[in-house]
Amino acid sequence: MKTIRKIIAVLLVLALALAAAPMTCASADGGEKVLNIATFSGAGDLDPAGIAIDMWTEYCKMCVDPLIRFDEEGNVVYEAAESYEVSDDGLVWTFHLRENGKWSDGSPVTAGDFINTIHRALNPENGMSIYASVLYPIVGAQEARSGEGSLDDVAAVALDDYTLQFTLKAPCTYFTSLLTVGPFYPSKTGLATLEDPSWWKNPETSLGNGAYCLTEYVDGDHYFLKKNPSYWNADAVNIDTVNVFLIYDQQALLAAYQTGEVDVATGLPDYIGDAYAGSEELFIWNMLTSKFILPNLSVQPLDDLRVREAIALGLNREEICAVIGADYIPSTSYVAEFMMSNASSEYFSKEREPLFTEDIAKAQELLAEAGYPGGEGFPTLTYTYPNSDKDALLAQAIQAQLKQNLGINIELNGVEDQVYSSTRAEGSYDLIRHSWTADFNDPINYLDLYTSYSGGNYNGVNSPEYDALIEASNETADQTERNDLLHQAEQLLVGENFYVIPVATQVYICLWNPRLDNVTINEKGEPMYRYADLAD
Amino acid sequence: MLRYVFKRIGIGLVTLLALIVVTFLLVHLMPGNPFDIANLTPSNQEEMMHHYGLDRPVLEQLGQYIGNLLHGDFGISFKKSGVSVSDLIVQKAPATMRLGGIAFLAALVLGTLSGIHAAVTGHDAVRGAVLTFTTLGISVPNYVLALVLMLVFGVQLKWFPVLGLGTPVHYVLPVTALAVYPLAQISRLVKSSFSEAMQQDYVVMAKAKGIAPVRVTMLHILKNAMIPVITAAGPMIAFLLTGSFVVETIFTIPGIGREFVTAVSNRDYTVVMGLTIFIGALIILCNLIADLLCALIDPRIKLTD
Repeated sequence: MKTIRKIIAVLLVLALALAAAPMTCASADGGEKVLNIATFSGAGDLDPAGIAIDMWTEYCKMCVDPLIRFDEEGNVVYEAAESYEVSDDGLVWTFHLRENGKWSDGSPVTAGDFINTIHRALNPENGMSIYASVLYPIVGAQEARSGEGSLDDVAAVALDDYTLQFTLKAPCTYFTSLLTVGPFYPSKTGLATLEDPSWWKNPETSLGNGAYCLTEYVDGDHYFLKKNPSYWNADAVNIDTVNVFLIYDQQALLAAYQTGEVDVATGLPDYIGDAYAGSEELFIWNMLTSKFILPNLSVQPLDDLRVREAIALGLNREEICAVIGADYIPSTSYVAEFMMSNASSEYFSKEREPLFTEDIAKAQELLAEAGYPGGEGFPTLTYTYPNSDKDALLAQAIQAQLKQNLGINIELNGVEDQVYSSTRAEGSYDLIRHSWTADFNDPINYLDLYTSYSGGNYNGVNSPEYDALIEASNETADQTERNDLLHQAEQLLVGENFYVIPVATQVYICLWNPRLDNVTINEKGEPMYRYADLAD
Repeated sequence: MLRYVFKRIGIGLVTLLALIVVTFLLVHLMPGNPFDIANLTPSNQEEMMHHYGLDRPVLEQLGQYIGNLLHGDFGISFKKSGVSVSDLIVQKAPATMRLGGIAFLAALVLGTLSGIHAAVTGHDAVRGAVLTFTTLGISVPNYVLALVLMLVFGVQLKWFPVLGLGTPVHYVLPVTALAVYPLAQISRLVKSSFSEAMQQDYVVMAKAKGIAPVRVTMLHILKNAMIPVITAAGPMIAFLLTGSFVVETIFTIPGIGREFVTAVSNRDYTVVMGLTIFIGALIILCNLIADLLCALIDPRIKLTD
């Protein structure tokens, strides 16, 4: 028995030693500059005519150049296009492509490559084309998508290899903002096809015309990029390899940054904002997101303007956001607080006076006028929200504030994401949390949701005056006049009628390696790594 | 024996069919749909639902689905364009199975050794230490353990990387997080059945006959002591091979555990179904193998019922 005991003891010790043996992970750079990025979401795909959401948004900024884009101040930056002109009636838009634009296999980027994406996005057979509707201002686009018209009749045409022309149904002063959404990006003709739905995963067919191009894609885990040698501005690109990791867990994201396995981590837990305050590693990414309460207008007493206004004025947003964390910023604006105006170099929300001012005394008066002094006799309403940590905190903070400031009781109803969406769409709620993130940089992205005929109008707003303002803004070709109309519309929607009750906007808290340099910001506040460098 | 195997496979198939029908109905009963994403308008959603035939009656869809299954077609993912469900399983299963396999081997070897050690040792301190460790191992949930391992050995000490499964070193923390619970379980099982077997008459007899202690331990005691372990190992290995959502999420491992949870919350119907069938089949198979192994080791167990 003694020998056995000894053998077992030795084996156990060996096994433990092996398990605990620390090994260092050597990085094989060999002078190459490698940037490791971790992002919070891998939703969607890399096809501009497909589910071009989170993953695509990150990818295209490095690998696929659109015609034009915008810098932090909202100025045009020419990418695949060198210039463009608009006809006097605002209907015909002609883009001249740069002739030195190249795909990563060395072939030229032609106008036909832009048409390739547009046709794939509008093809009724394409079941993944979620942003096809951004093409609908173009003559014939909506008809082609619904199958009533033909793709040949879509007025997006290549006049020659380097000239691209769009004819619109009506003037659209924000057309250039739409160009930053997936379907307006090029994809290589003959390689990116509907017949091969996985072309975008394969580095052989998934070409880039931007600073980098794809070398490896592993679903739900990572994709790797290398510098695109054929890029027209390749001299300005400093990094050789970019590795993008998709990490869905905030704690894991933070750990990967702290162990040095990644140089950039976006979307970290809110306490990191305080923990790294003042550090050059901290970066705050201002999102184009608006968080607001939607009162169901067909539920009593929310049909009473005084009640809606009392709720809007009776919330202390500073206190609410202090509870939720540093990534929530108080906001009384419905159009995202950090959205650039198209008529000035300011934020849209800073061009005007606040839509309303918090005023608890006035809120109490309004409530009394409506027949509920001190909240007496006010029915218990339900507040529905998606069951995330942040939204639960927001719900509790709103509940506490309404109780304390107005004497109103609300019941909380936290539900799973998908249940939340269908509850909202069906209108089976009293109060519901809503959140909207812009697809492109223009206030219309928010405001056209509440026309009486909008599919995103979930609470029954029906104001002919509002519809008329939005229609007038769509018809004018004058940017300043249009901007005024949009401000009037927002004032009508929020400041006068309180059809939506803004609460906060959101930021992403990010950390990056202090060696990282030359990161630029685009008009949506997003960091762009295409010309980034890593100091030695 | 052969009759028994066929019978068990038959029962397994019926179980699987029941699983498919129930899961299919439950999944389609959940509110929401796969296309409720980003800023997609309700009319676009209806367009997509129609495109994939999701607007037809559920029973009709079920019939169609089972029909396709019989042709080996698991369908395509609604959330990842160009990805078929079978491709997805082929992509995701290897990482999970490698991780689970290693964790199981580690748990089996270390658990058995520590169990035997606790049973035969004369030192109360050693027995106490093993007992404390196994009690802790069983009671600490693996999400706590995984986080503690990540923070201590990854972030603070920087001994091990925490992102993915790139190199062998990457396996250390996730395998440890996965293995501790089954290790503790096996250790306790071995300890009690080993102590019991040591008291048996045939062991005393073997010793009296002067058979070498190693032979007695390995052949006479261990063989019999392992039967409860093997019975427990069937579900255990099935559990490990089907992936842990928590461990895969914390260590960013592209496995089926993480995929499964994402698919459920995304209402990616076909992926949920495909993974359910895959995991269900695996569990049925593991249990069958465990039963057969027991019969091989212990002739007293009759499989002909």
